[in-house]
Amino acid sequence: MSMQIGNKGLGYGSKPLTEAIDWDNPKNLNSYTMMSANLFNFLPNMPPHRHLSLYQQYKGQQYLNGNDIHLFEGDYPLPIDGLQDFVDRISREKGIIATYHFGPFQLINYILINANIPYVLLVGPQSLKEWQYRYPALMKRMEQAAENNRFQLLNAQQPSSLRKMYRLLDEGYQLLLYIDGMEGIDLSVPERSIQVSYLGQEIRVAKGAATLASYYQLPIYPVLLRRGADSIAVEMDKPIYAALFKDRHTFIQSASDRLFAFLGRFVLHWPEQWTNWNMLHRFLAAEQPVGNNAFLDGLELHECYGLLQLESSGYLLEKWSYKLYPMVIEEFNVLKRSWL
Amino acid sequence: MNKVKLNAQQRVVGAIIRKTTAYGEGLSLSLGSRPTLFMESDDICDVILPGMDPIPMDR
Repeated sequence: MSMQIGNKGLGYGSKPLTEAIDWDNPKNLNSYTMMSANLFNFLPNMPPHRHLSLYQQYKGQQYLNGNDIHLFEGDYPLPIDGLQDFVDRISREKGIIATYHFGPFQLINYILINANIPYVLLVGPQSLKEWQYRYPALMKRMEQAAENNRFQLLNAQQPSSLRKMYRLLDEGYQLLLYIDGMEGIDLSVPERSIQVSYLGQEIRVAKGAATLASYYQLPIYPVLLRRGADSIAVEMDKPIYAALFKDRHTFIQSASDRLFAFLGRFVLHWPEQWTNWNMLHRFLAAEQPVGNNAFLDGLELHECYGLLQLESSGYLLEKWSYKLYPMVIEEFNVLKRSWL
Repeated sequence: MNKVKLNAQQRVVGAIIRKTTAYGEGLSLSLGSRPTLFMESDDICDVILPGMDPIPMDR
């Protein structure tokens, strides 16, 4: 049976009710296993027996995010705490709005458009296609804003985008970036990414926001949207000013550290609201995560290992090392029946 | 000292894991920049691109 979520709430405050997850769908199985392995290594103090309920909450959050898309057609029904402070702050001085795939992450576009704040959204080419497919109501609003010279969508990988961005910034546009995305990060090209500490591990992340802030001498406004029971909260950190640093490299490192420390503060307390849990292993800077094997004592086998399925092949994942072991499919099915 | 008694199912699960992990070092998952079997697979996660809503619009 596929996962169904109760039709109550729909972003109006109540938590969506989750029912059984379809573990025969490899995407559910793989997503849960990777999320659990990443929680194991990045939030080691969370008891592994909580991973499954967290995954259900995570799916509930994604459902609410999906539901938000329809709400962008009209007036967003939830109160947004801190909205006016945010609008006032960024209206005073144009800058780079650095945001994250946290909470109702698409909502910031709705906020900027409704506040008549001109902005440029910089995304990768694949994201561009995905946004058009997945967020038609939001894209419609964005297109209207574009017609009124309030919005521009730029492909981060097009060489001409830098020139366009320069012109638009000069005209008073803000720049919006989702800084915790994977797309466009080629980790084999070290100069495009930077190493930062995140939840007790070292990861490599894109340094685009800090680089652009340095290049254009603009402040960075770190901001995320957090979903509460009956409202949304705009969480902002202090702006980061490139001008305060004499050395460009020191600024880029310091700004990146602060941007991910800010995200980590909220991910620690509301882990279910961060969309990227099941991709986090791809950010790891080291070949092995930092870990204390003493944590393994007393854990059940299904808490230390997970299952991954790729086409018709089954694999056992050792969560603490991210090592994969091919399995005989009959034995894979025995573990799956026993654990899920 | 009492020994922990495992039921039949736990014994079978333990035996399968011991057998599966007994040979070789295991494959590496896509960590960091090392390209591996799973690096580009759409099947690894329901979120193909981070941040994209994994639940289809036509639900």
